[in-house]
Parts: sequence; structure tokens; C-alpha cells
Amino acid sequence: MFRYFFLLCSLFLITGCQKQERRRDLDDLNSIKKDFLFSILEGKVEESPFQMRYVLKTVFFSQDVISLFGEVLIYDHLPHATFRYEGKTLCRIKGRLTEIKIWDLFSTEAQREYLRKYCENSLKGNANAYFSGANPLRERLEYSDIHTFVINDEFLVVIFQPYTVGGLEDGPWEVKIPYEYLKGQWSFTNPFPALLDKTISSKSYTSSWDQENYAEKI
Amino acid sequence: MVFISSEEGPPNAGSKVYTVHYFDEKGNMTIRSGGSKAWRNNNPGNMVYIPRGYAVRHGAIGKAGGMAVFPTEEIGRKALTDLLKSSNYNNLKITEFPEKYDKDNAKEYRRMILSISKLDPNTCIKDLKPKEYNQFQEAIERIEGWEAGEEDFIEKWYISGVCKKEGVITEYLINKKGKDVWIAKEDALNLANEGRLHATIVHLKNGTIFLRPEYGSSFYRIA
Repeated sequence: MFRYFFLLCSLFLITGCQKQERRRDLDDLNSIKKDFLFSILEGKVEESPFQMRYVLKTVFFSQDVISLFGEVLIYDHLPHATFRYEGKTLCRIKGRLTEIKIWDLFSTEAQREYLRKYCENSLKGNANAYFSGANPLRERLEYSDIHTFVINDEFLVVIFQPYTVGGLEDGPWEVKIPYEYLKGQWSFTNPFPALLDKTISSKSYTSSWDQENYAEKI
Repeated sequence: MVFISSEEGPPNAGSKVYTVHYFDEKGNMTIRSGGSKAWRNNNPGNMVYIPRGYAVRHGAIGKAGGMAVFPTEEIGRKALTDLLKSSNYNNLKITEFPEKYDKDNAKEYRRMILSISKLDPNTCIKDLKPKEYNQFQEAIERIEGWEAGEEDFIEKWYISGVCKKEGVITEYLINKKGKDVWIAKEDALNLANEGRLHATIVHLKNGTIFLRPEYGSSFYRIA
């Protein structure tokens, strides 16, 4: 009893005496960690062992273009762990590394619609996705579903958060778009496509996106 | 056919998705591949596997892809029902449920569960009528993903006889689906190694390898 009281007091001190609402942004790992600690205090032995894991790795690395993939896994109660994914793609523009957002690359209405439609059609072809079958759970992919992405030397990889386009699987739901399909479809005004093309042509990079890496077991 | 154990199997050629091997009491194997994770594991709630944990106490027979494997869809479904009707979930309103079930994805989960189940978001789970409760659990199962894939049955064969030449076994008589087939000793050893024969591989110190009947059975026919 005393042990739990002591733990609880410690946690209140750590968190500044208030339980913060978990932020979805994986940039705030401390908040996620505190929330995890609070959750397991209420946990039951039959649901343990609990774990929280965060992995951030480069998917594409070069002097001018860097793309990172992050994944957080939290298991603090039944039935299963919860996952969130993040993608960070940085590009050196005028000597400074700048983060690129997906809609920076698809800035016009036509470009945005091309990306949305490409992803939607790809998901409709996957029998496990919410968009397929005789009675699909979803008919239309929304722009708001598309925000997380990484790149490698062959594809722009759009990553979907759990339960947006399909059920629980090993690793994130993804749509890979080969660069040849993006020629003329993504923004001309953004320097990123040209810089990426130049980097890939130089062959001075490492590229390591592989779905097998994400078949993590909990 | 009653499955008594299971294990995770390697992906099929050209696939990156694990398979699930189910074994019945006769040692026959059923392999599930493709489809959704929930279907492969007979686990509609995608319940995690913990040794001696909740899923095991509710009938899980193994683990694959980190999740529990249940012998049947019904047993897997019952485990989910029992969890949802436990004090952890029972007092929650439908709209509060996703925050508990998968809090990091609660927004997406709530959107899906309300649109599929069509239930009043302010109703408590414990107050749902049986029909409404079924709508609720069916919605969860659809969100988790239930898509059937391929199922292959691999029978574990019995050795019914041996052929000896100058006192050395050269062939084994295998009973495949009621039909007797003679196979070379090497092939029989390979099958036994893959666990597809009811036989034990014996290695003698002198290097000789042979098959012995499993405990309680015998090779009755010697040619």
C-alpha cells in the first residue's frame, strides 16, 4: 500500500501535480511516457507485462535530403498495444534543413486530388482495407487522412495511422507511389522534387524502407 | 476437428505476412495465410498474448504475430465479449469506449464505431440491449479487420509398415488418406523431420538413423 502511495506521489511530482492529456504528437515523448506510467499504476497483473517503445530511424539519408520514420508502441492494458507513426522529411534549402510537409509537395487542387485519388484507388485494391469488399466501411479517403509520409529512393510512401484505412496489421498501412508516377503531378515550385532527383542520381545516399522492419512483436 | 495448439509459421513465398499453424489432436496441421491478422489468429479483438494471461485463461492455444491464437472464431469472440463486459469497459459510454480501448487512436476509432454501429454515443455498454450489444461488438470486429485468407490442411501420416532388405529398412509404407504408398527411407526421414509423420527419428551412435513408431503405436507390417 505504502509502495503505491510512494509511486503515486513521485509521479505527481514528476508531472507537476497534474495529469496531462496525452498529445498525439510524438514530439512530446515525455508526456506520453508520463501517461504510460500513470496507466500502468491502474494495471492488472493478468494484463502485464506492460511496455512502451519508441523507434526513430532514417529511411533515407543523404547530405541534402533526410527522411525519418518514427513509431511508438504502448501496451498498458488489454486488448492490445496502441501504435502511432510519424514521418519527418527534411530537405536542405539555401543551406538550411527544412521540414517538408506532404501538402507542400502537392500544393494545387489538382495535385492534391491526384494524391488522394491515387491512395484511395490503391487501398480499394487491398482486400483488407476499409475501402474494399461488397460492403466497404469507407467510400472516400479524405485529405485529412493523408499527412504522414517518408521517402526512399524509389517511392513516396504515404503512411496511414491505425484505423483510418484498415484494421490492425503488422506495421503501418502504406501506399507506395513510384516517382515516375509523380512526374508532372507534384509541385514544380517546391525545390524538393528536383533536389531528390539530383540526390538519387548522385547515388550518394542510403535508403532502407522495408515493411519487414515493422513486423514488430509486442 | 479440434485445435489444441498453434504456432507462428514463416510467410509464404512472395509474402511478408506470417502464417499461423494450427494443430489438432492427431497432429494434423492447418495453415492459415493471407487475410487479416484477426482472421489468421481466430482473434476478432486482436487480443494480445501473455503467458498465463487473460487470453490464455479464455482459451488461447498459442501466439502468432504477438497476438493470441484461439482455436475457433467463437472462442476468440467470447474472449472479447468477456473483456467488454468486464468492469474495465462495462460502465463506459459508447463515445468513451475508444478512449479506453485504443486511446492513441481514439478519434479514428470513435468515427468508425459510431458510423458502423449507428448506436447512441451516450448509451452505456452495460445498458445495451442484446441486439445493440451485437451491433457494438460486430462494429469492433469490423474495425479490427476480419478478412478470410487461404486455409491449407496438411495431414500427419501414419507409417503402417516397413520394407527390409538384408535386415536394413529401405522403405516405409505410409497411409495417406486411407491409401498405402511405399516411400524411400530418406523421404520418410525428411517427412518426419518436418513433423508430417507419426514417428520418432532415432540417431544411433554408429551414425545409423531410423524411424521408430510413436509411443503407443507400432509398424504392423514388415515386407
